[in-house]
Amino acid sequence: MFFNSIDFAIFLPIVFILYWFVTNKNLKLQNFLIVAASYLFYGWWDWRFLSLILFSTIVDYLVGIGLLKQENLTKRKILLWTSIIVNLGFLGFFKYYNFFLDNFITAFSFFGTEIKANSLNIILPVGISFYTFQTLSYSIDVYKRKLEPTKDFIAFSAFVSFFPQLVAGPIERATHLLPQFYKKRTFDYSKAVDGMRQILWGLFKKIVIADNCAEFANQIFNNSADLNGSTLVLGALFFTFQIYGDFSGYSDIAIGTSRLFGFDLMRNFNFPYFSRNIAEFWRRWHISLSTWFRDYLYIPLGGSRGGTWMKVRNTFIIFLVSGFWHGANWTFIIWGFLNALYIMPSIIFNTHRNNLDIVAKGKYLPTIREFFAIGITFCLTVFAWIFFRAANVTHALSYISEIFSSSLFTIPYFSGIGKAVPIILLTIIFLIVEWLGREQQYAIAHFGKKWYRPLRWSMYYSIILAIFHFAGKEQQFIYFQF
Amino acid sequence: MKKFIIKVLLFIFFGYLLGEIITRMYKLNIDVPNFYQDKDGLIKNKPNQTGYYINGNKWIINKYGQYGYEPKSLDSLITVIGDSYIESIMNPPACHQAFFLANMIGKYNFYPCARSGASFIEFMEMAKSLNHLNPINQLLYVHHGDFIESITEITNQPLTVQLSISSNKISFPKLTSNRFKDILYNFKFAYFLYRNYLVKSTNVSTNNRDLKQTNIDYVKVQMLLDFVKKNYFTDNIILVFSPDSDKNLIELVKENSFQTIELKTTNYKSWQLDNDSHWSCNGQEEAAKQVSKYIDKSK
Repeated sequence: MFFNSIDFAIFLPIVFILYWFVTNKNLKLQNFLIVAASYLFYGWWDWRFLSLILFSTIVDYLVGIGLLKQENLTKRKILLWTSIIVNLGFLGFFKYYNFFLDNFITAFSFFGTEIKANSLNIILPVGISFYTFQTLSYSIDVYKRKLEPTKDFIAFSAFVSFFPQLVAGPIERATHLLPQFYKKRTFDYSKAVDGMRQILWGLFKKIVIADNCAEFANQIFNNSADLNGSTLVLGALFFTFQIYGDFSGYSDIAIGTSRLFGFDLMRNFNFPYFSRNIAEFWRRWHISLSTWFRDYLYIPLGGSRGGTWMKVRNTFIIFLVSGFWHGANWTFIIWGFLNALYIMPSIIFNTHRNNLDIVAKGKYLPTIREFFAIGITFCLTVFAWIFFRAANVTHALSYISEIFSSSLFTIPYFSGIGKAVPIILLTIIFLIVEWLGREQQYAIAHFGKKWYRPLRWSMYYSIILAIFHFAGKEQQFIYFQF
Repeated sequence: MKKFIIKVLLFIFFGYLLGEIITRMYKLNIDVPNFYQDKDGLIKNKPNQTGYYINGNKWIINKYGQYGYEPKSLDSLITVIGDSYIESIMNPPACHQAFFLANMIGKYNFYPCARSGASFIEFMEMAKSLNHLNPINQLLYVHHGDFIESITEITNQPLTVQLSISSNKISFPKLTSNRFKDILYNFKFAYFLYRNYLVKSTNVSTNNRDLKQTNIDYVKVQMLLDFVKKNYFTDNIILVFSPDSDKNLIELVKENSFQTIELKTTNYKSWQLDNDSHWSCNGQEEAAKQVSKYIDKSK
């Protein structure tokens, strides 16, 4: 079930009513409702893969119980590795089997040995990378004794399958989300209203910005061989806003929906395109994944304790793994590698902890220095997105080589450019609203809050109207495939 | 909680009102005419209605319950029968087939009679119901898909007239919940949401000719033609085939002694609307030119 579907528009109020009016007196029943609703939400896409979630839930629950009773370090390690192997095993099989197979065949044929092996026709279960990492965080935290393992299977199942963030995050830490299932939730009016507002903004980002940019990004990337350099730049920009609108829009809807049910999810995006360097960008983009890699990969690898070389090595590792997490394709690995390269200067010169504040806080405009820093960071990010979006490495390289040809200085043109103009204008307006709201949790969090109600509601209606009016061709959320 | 629910409901209520105003003001919906099923089982529009199509074109239903202008008189009458291509709700009445024909051949009166989604056998039923007007000719605008859709054994279409070739029985559409639909159509915004978001994938257009490019079972079509020849008056029937019709089927129809007109064009795309494969004003005019030439020659 997609957030931007009629199915979800019917599903959400029904679950909301059952949650607050029917099951509100019994915490276990309320948690059970969340599990049932989450399984329905997921099963709407393909019920067969519910067995994967259920199996993963049972394994990690039992690993947790085992770790509770076990003091022997070797046995504790075995339990932890059981969880890691099962979770990453599923992920590896469904997501990477064909990739490794194809690359082995290519590598062996390079040395003159022909291997005959058939690729499997594997369907990638939606959101597997997200819930796998979430359950892993539980096992690791319990192993490290940062978290008391739960004996409440229903609460644990609800934590694993919590529908707002099940298929595309934010990837929650067990230490943050799981305890929320133990406590009785009370309805908070302002939290619910804020949740609704965030859902609205998320839908705007997804349906108006992302889906419309997607139409042109797809058109340009799919016909890149016939287009000039300036048009290809435009295509990369469309994709830049598509992926931001798509993924951060999803996160907004997920966080907003959770707030309706009395839950707080971690923030996943913090206006990343206003970053002044790449290190700042990565503190603001897909925060739940970046911090997951920091906590469960970078720090266990030694983090920044072993001097500059260690920091450089570990940074490359996490960016390559992060790239690979996004998909079984060399384009993602190069995208990760590029980002690691980008961040290197600040790692080497130890400036990666600069710019922890909000850019131009309390001001309408940035300084010239900040403006250029934002511009350069943005250009680097757009460049890296080309690899992320391209069908393969050859496609990405030919796309880039055309950009850096003399055709860069021609006027952009593609068959749908007339229709693209209103979307470009809309994206500029969107950027301005995001800039004005950059000190908030999401751009319109405080926008018009003190206005006279008819005026405030008019603003909401305008956003809804824009959603209906600009509803492009419905696109699946990009991050579902990861 | 109470406060929240009340505010959400109020927000939805005012939002709905706003939506209703915008939908009506900008004519975002197709106005759906009132219709009924006559004693013979045919679905007909109630006479003297007007409304708007989504592109803002006004449609009219004349005093005979047919889309477009009525003929000046019922003398020297030629009927123009068909489906949504003849109904032509997406074009203004001045772009309708019967109107063009009347302007091109002034000595005859042209009586439009069409229903979106109708099949060949339904066209024959329409023709039968108009025989009391003593038409000189009955022009049936067809496409090979209309023959396929006429046969229950090939495709079951409960909303159109069909013939079961195994039992030789005709089935008529069954109108259900008509009153409910009448009410629903008056809630323009709800209907707009329903049409655009709930049934978007299945109801893109009333035209389904693109879906009719299936293998044609000529044996069954022959059985249909046998039934038609036996049970209907066909002497004044002229079948006007759309340019994209199957050539073998046209030959089969000719072999069965039907009068036919084959519309031809080297650029069929230029006959069609931009976002829809129905005929545009230009397409209607081009078709009328070819038909009028045929009529002029034959009289």
